[in-house]
Formats: sequence, structure tokens, C-alpha cells
Amino acid sequence: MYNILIADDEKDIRTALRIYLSDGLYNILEAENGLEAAAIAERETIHLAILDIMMPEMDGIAAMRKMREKHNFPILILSAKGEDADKVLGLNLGADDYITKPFNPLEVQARVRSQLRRYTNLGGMEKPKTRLTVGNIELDDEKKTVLVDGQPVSLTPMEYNILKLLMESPGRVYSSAQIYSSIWNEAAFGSESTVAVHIRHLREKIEINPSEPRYLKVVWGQGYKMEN
Amino acid sequence: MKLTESLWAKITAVFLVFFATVGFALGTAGSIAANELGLYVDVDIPYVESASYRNRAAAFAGGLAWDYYNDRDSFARTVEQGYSQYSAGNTNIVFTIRDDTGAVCATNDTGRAATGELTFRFAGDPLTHRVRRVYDDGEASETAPKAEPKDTLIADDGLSDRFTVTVSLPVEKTVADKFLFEHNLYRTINRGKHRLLWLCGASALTLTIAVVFLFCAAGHHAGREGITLNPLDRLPYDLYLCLLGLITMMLLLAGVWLAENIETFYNIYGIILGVALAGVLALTALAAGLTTATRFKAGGWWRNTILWRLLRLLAKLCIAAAKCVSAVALQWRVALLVGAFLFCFWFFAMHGAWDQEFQIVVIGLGLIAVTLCCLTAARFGRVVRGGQAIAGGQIDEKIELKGLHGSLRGLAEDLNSIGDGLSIAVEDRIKSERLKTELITNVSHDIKTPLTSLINYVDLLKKEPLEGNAAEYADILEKHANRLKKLTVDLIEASKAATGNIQAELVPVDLCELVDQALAEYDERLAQSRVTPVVTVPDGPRTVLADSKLIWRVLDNLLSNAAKYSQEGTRLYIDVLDRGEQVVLAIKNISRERLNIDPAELTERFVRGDSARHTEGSGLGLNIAKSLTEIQNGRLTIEIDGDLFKTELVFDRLITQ
Repeated sequence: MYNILIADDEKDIRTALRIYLSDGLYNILEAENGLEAAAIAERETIHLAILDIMMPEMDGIAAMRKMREKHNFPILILSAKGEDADKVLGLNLGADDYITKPFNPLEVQARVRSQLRRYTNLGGMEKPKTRLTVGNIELDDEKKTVLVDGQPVSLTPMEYNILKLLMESPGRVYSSAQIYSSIWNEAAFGSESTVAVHIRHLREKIEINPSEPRYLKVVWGQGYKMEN
Repeated sequence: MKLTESLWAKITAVFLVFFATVGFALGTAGSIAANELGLYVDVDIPYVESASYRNRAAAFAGGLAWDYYNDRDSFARTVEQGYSQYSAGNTNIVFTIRDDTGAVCATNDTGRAATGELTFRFAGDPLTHRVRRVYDDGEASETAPKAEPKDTLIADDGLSDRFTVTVSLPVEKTVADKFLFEHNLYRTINRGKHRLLWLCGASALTLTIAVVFLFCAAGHHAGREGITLNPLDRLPYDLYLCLLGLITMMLLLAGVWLAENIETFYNIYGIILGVALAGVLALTALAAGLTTATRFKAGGWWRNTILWRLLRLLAKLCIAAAKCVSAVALQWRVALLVGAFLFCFWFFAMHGAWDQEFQIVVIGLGLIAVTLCCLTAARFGRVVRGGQAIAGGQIDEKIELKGLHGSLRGLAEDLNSIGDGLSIAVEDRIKSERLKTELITNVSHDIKTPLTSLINYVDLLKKEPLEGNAAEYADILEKHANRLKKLTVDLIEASKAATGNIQAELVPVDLCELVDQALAEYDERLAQSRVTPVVTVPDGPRTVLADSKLIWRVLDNLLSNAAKYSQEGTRLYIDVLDRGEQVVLAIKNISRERLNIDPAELTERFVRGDSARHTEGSGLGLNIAKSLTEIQNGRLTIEIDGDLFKTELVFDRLITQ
């Protein structure tokens, strides 16, 4: 049983989250505002917190900073403020993830699961050299397996090769032509558009929300990259 | 009521001034007379012993001698008969004329008791009938008044007719003549000589108090606040003063005349007239003083003067003249000036004044004119540069007004105020756009919270076992909730894009690669809409400077439109073309609905090809795409040709070295 703290001033949203997250694994604690959330975090052992930003008394950002003074548990921000600047601010101030309202329930479920697994299982695990890790994605080149949040994902050989190429140098942007020539080992004469399709399929398999990818990112007009 | 406001107090004070002046004049004149008569030194000299009596008696004797000598035959008779002015009933003086032998020639002596006997000796010339007074050595110093010039006194030069005149004043004076008047006056003065001094002092004090009071009270009236001007005070100041001056002048002339002719009055009326004159003079001076005091108190005394009015009229005329000149168009003024200069030049040249001095003058004038022209041109240049700066968008630029005059200054000021107006308009515009964006963002955030619950509970509802049509209704609810969600997101983005609140980070972007990536995203949706993409890209990359994320959002919107509105079973053409220095990404599709709308209107907010808003979408897609393209220095054009809908993204090609 994990203790999940939900802080939102809207009761209906708290209830909805409680319903979505009540699959027997989680114990839900609710707070109406940041002050209450910080008090609960002091009192109880919390494994994960979902915070709204705009709350009375104390806002989510302030509550998060207060929690971060002592605690290390994952914090998800769930806010109506969807600007890039808001996301950057939240993530810089200690949030582990940022979800905008209106949210997709499945995405919230997946992200909560992912964060909890990372917090409880993966921390400090030693990695063999043949294993590539980017975020929650692990690629074992010996076993030819890919684990996302610890769950095996089945990829086609082409998808696997593309993922391996990108994971070998995270952050580097590969153009379609580069990817094509290194995977297919032949010059790309107009065939590179197939790369784009492969990448999209790959993204659908490893990303929680493929239209807003977390790891495998499209650099529009340039190529693709893995991002940590 | 204050004393200064009391009319009666003032009237009293005016009377006091009059009488005090009269008293002062009387006292002063009397005491001066008494002093001259020596009354303050010797106590109680009788009139007949005074110098005044002696002088008058000598004058009387002279007149008498003249009249006697010219009419020796009948003089004694007419005196005796009482017809002459010298008869006993007509004058107070008792006289006796004797010849050399001592025989009485004529007399009016009736044996009355008389004092103050004086004897004068005369000599007459029988040829010219002139009479001269003759002095013995002993008498000359005593009787001859010092004022009498020496040359009128002739020595005993052997004139044959010699006689003496003895005059005396009887104790009882029966005739009202100047001797009686003087005698009485003398006595009065003598008796009241100390009182005269008192009168002098008292009237001076009264006068001072009354005048000071009147000056203080000037302008104050009962029942009125502050200073009130009476009708006289409203007369023009200088005119009034001139009038008073004229009156004073006339009074003074009258005074002079009176002083010269005081002799003829021989009575109290002369004195009354004199002191009355002094009183009126004082009242005139008082009038002038009081009106001055009132006007000074009221302030702006110079405004109510004829001189001031004249000056103001002159000033107005000057201003009007200046206006007339400035109303004349600039070119005519310049023409007039140049014409005047040339005329002077011609005039002097034609009239033979073409000498060296004139040449120097002409050269000097020419130099001055050239300097002035250069200075004016420089200033004009300054105004022109200022105008260019404002026209070029530097609306905060101000033209320096120093040294500019006339029309040029007016022009510069006008340009500056145009700049000011533009600045204000631009600031207002920026402010209102920012406020609009903030408003839209805030409202959208507020909408998002209830929307979240709506979407979530519709989702939860769908998971419940639903009967009958309920499942279908839940689907409809979900569809519209999602549409609402997209609408709010698009709304924020549209307002931000339109107001330039999005910063574009320009990097090299290959449009060919972009098309591949975009199609990979859209192949499923296009397949669902049964639209076949046909891509034509040139060999090699076509790189432009754009923001990687923003250009995707543009393409996303365009492809999403194509997927939404394309006729099923048609083809979607996507081309990347070179057009000179530019690269064009063209998207063409066949619209399902009739497009009877102006392409320009499509990029307005909330406009869609179909007026009925059935399909999903916010109507903001093309507006966002256009704004975002412009932020990246690109251009989005839309063409409609029947059912063919064509959009073009145009960017400058980036030539890689």
C-alpha cells in the first residue's frame, strides 16, 4: 500500500482522482489546500503527492517547496496552467512530473505508477554495461529486451535498432537520413520517410502520452532524439 | 459699523479739512503779517506808528501831491466843497498843503483830533506838470521806504514850485477806506497775535488728522466688502488728475490776481476770498489725494488711465498687424522680403549712390542674408530629419525646438505632437492587447477547472453500465467536452500568437524532413478520412530559419484542417518548391463543403469554411497558423479556387555554406 497525497481545492477533482487511483494498491489522502497538504506530509508517510498549483491559503508551488525541504517522494503537479513557462517553473522547483488539466485519467494512472516504481524499485540499482538507460527506459542489448517502467515492451527489430541508436547518445539529434543509413546500411534516396513512421510506432510503444513524448522527441524539421 | 465706512464721518472730515485749511491759511497769513509788522517784538505799537501806516501815508501824500499840482486852481475849492475824493467826508486822512512860505494852499482839516502826523516835501515842474518828492537829509532815511528806487528821487534841482504835505489820521475815523480797514485789521492782528499762533497749530493738527482719516477711509463704503470705486474714481486717472490740475491752476491764477489786487478790496472780503481760495485749493488737492488712495488700494490703478488704454490699443493693433502678416502665406512673405531688398538695392543703384560705402553696405546685407539663409536651411534640415525619424517609426524622437521660429517652429511642434499621438496610440494598443491576452488566459484557466471534472466524470459515467440510449448520450457528452477542451487551448494560443507573446527560437529547419515527420504523424488520420497524401519534395534538404516547435504547430493545424474538411476519396497534395530565394510548402486539398468565403476572412478568428459549426475544431486553426508563421518571419497565404483549398507556407531559403 502506497500513501498518495492529493491536494486540490476542487472536491470533484479530488474525488475523480480517488476513483481512478483506487485499484487496491493506493491509500489516498486528500488535502484542500497547500497548507493542509504540507501538514499531512509532515504527519504521514507519503509515497507520492499530486498537487494543484492554484489553491487557497498556500499554493502548490509553496507546498511543494516545503515538502522538498525534508522529503524525497515524487511530486506530480496537476494544474490548469499549461504554459511552457509554468511547466519549466514547476519542474525546476522540484516537481517530478507536470500534467495539465483537463487530464487524461489513464495518463495520470500511468504516470503515478511510473513515478512510484522509479521511487521504490529503481533507485540506486547497479546497471550492467550492456544496459542502456534513459529515464524509465532500459535497453538490454544482451537479452535484446526493452523495459519501460520495468515492464517489457515488444519491439520490431527496426524499432529496436532505432531506439538503440538514439539511446546510445541521448540528446543528439539524428535526421531521418542519418537514421536510415545507419540502420539499413544504405544511402537513403527518398526512403527516409519510412523512418518517421517507425519512430511514431516506437513512440506509441514506449511513451505514456505519445502526442506529448517524454523521452523520444521529434525535433521538427531536423530529426529525432532521446532525451533524459 | 466701522468709522471708516460712515458717510457722515467722511463728510465731517471733508468740512474739517476745508475749515482747518481756512484756519491754517488765516493763522499763517496773520502771524506772518504780525511778525512782519514787528508785533511779536515790540509790544502794542499803535497803528499810526507802524511802518505800514507810514508807507500808506507816503503813498497817499504822493497821490495827493500829484492831483493838487495838476489842478492847483480848483483843488482847494473842490476839497472844501466836498466834491473831491480828498474831501473830509471821503477820506479818513486829514491833510494840509502848504507852500514855501508856510501859507496853507489846501486842507480838509476840520479840527478833529488826529494822531500820526507826517510831513512830506514835494517839488513840481510847471513845464511838465510833474511832481517829485523831495527829501531833506534828516527826513530821507526815515520816511523814504527802502524799496523806492533811488533814481526816482530827485535832488533839489531848483524846481520853482515847492510845497509840503502834512497828513495825519484822526482818532475818530468816519469813512470806510483802506486806512480804517488797515487800522482795524492791525488792531485785530495785534490783539489776536497769540491766538493766531494757536489757530495755526490747532488747524494744522486737525488738518493732518482729517486727511489721514480720509485717506484711510478712502474706498470703504457701508455694506460693501473691500474697496468700492465711486463715479469719480471711475474716471480715467490721468484725465481726472489733469482736470484737478486745471482747477488748481485756475485757483492759483485767481490767487495771484487776488494778491496783486488785494489793495483794491480794503476790506474783510479780500481776506475771506483769499482763505476761501486756500480752502478750495485744499479740497482740490484732497480730491486728487483721495482718488489716488482709493485707486491704489483697489489695485491696478494704471488700467483706468487713458494712457494705458492708448498703449493697449496700440499693442492690439500691433498684434493684429502681426496676425495679418502671419496669415499671409509663407511664399508671399518671402517674396515681399526679397522684393523689398531688391527694391532698396535698385533704388540706391539708380539714384547714383553707387559709391564705395554703398557697396560695403550691400555686401554686408548680402552676407547677413546668406548667413540667415544657411541657418534657416540648417534648421529646416533638422525638422526634416525629425519628420523622417517619426515616419521611420522612431515615434519617441523629438525635434529640438530651440532656435526655431515662426512657421518652422509651428511645423516642428506639429510633427512632435503627431509623434506624441502615435506614441500614445501605440502604447494604448500594446496595453490593450496585453490585457486581452491576460484576460483570455485567466478565463481559460478558470474554464479548465470545471472542464476537468466534466471530462473525468463523463469518462467515469461511460464505465458504468448504461441502459438504453444513455451510452450514446455519454458519447456525445464526451465529444463536446473534448471539443471544449481544444477550444480553450486554441484560444490561449491564438491570443498569444496574435499579440506576439510567443518567442520564436529560430533554427535551421529542413522542410522536406518536416513533411516526412508530419505525414508520419498524420497517415492514420488521413487514412481514416480516406484522403491519400501525394508528396513532392525536391532532392536534398530545403533549409529555412524557423522555430522547430512552432512550425510543427502550423503544419499540424493545416494538416488537421485537411483531414477534417477534405472530400473523402480525394488526394492531398503536399509540395516543397523552390521559388527564387524562397522555399514554399504548399498543401492542396479538395473541400468537402462549398467554400463561398473570402480567403482573407478564413484567417480571422472564429471563422470556418462551413458556417454551421458541426465539426470539431475551434475556428482558430488558420488564425493561429498565420500568426505563428508571421512570428517566424514566414508568410501564410490561402487560395480558394472552387473546391480547391490551397495554403502556402513561404520562408526565405537558408543557404548553408
